[in-house]
Amino acid sequence: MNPIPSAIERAGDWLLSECSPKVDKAKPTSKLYYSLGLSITSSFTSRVTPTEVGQIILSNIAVVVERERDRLSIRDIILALLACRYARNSGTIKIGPLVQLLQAATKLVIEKTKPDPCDVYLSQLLLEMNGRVPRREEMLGSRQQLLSELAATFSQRKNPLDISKDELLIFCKYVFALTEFGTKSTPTQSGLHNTVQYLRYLTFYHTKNRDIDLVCPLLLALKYLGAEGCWEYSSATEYLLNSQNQDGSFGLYEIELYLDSLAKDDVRNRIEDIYLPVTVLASWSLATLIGKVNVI
Amino acid sequence: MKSERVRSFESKAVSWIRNNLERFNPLRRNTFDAIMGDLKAMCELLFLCSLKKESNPSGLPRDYRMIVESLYNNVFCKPAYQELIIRRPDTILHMLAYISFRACGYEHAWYRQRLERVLATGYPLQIERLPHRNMDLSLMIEKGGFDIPFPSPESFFEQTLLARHPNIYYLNEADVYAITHTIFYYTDFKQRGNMLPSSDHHYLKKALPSLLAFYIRQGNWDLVGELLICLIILDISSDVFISELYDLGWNCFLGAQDAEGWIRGPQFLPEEYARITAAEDKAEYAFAKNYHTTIVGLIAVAMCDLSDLILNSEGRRT
Repeated sequence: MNPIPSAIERAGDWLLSECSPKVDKAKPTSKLYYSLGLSITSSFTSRVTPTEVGQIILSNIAVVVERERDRLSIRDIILALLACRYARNSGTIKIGPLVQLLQAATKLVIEKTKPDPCDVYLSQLLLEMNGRVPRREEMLGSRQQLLSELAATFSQRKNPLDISKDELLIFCKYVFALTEFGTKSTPTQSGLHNTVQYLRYLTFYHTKNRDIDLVCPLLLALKYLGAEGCWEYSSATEYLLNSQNQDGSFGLYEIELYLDSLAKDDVRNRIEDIYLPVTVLASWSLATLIGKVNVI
Repeated sequence: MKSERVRSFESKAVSWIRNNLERFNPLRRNTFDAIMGDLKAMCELLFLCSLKKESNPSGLPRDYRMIVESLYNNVFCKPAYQELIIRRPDTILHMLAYISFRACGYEHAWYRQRLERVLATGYPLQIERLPHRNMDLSLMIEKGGFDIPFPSPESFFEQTLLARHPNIYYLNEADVYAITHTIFYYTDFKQRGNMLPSSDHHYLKKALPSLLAFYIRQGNWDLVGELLICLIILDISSDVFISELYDLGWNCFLGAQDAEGWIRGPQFLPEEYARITAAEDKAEYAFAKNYHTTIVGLIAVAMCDLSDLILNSEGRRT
């Protein structure tokens, strides 16, 4: 029996039992993570109806977008749009007005914060996936820009293994954008497919180092590049499943939290700052791996 | 991989060793324990020289010959050194030094007799060791032509970690060293002409490249060097999916060479090194932390030559 659906179901139950009671007072980004997590896991859990889930998601995102409009980052926008896209899968939620709100917020964030082209592209792509009419010409231009940036930044590295965590996350984002979440093949000149072998080595490296926050995007990147047949992919999936806790959350952080608590006053919120983002990322990766839900 | 860069690395590294040759002399120390602690550096250097001789049909190159000659006269022939085997018969380093000198053409009849007497007590053979260390001992008994019963190197293979095909995600550094050393001693650095069983070969074709990539990323040049040697021994460095990584490994390894000639070892801390002001202390720190990795690099170079030599002689035979 495939253990992934039940793992996602347990993650969904954790979101409902641990996070739901606290979400009203949570930070805006945590509200968005929570919404994304619920929208992904709702197809796997029977504890709430799709309509209930839809309402929870819509209200959380709407609250954030309306109240925090001036403080939103492009990452928040992407999280919100991803949540909306997954929520649409259930078919019972009307998200048109919310997406319209998000479109306006996206424009504002882009004007105000000048995010990197990859984030802009992802936000435009997700708006399109959420039913907004795309500005194809603009997107085509951005795609070309992304391709040349990718070629300049990553494909011509002397040592492709010498890449920082932040750079690797950006690289994964490029893969998400250029493959349009695995639905488009990438042009040869992007050099993306030449990097698959190194992506496999890096997946091995971060799985061995137990960097769950990197293993998740790397798994998605491998999947979107069509490399899910490699052994690094299945081992990383196994590792991800092994890092689920008894309560359903993902991530092995208890030793570090314990040691931090001995050394200093830990100001981090264990759910919002640690387990929530990782559990949502892990659920997203696992759900995508089995193909039951996808952005598209 | 016989580029100018590799030759330049070799020349600089050997020159650094020659400039620091006195540091390879365990008798420079003033306590018994410190002398024993320093034996390893000399023995590894001697082993490198013996391998270099095997890889050079025209004999030991001049720089290496001078190293061996110096250590033979200034260490091996000294009564203080020759007494160590009686005092500490538990270590196989005495054997390694003797076998290496012998391979380089330096025999010492009296020391051999002493070694034979110590081996005849049985004690050095009875000590509990890791399986790959027993392989090493068995190999040395075989190479030294000692007439004492001891299992063959192959017979220890089943007890090694490698034979169990461990999940590479869980391997720690000591485990990876155990695997590289098993490959070294099972094949006697490619000189035994034997092959690992095909299932182990298959396992290693998957495990070694991933581990090599892992340690390249980590900047552990010691293990990068050892893994490159393993790829050469197993003749898989030119495989389609491995050759690019193999070249990358070499490039990174050579890039880790300091202007003085040494390669940065895993225990070397640049900040600590920078804080040391006295020239002698600086040189001693660089030696202690980096000699092993530098020798590993030179062994890899010798292995490239040896591999070519074997390939050519096989080509001629066919």
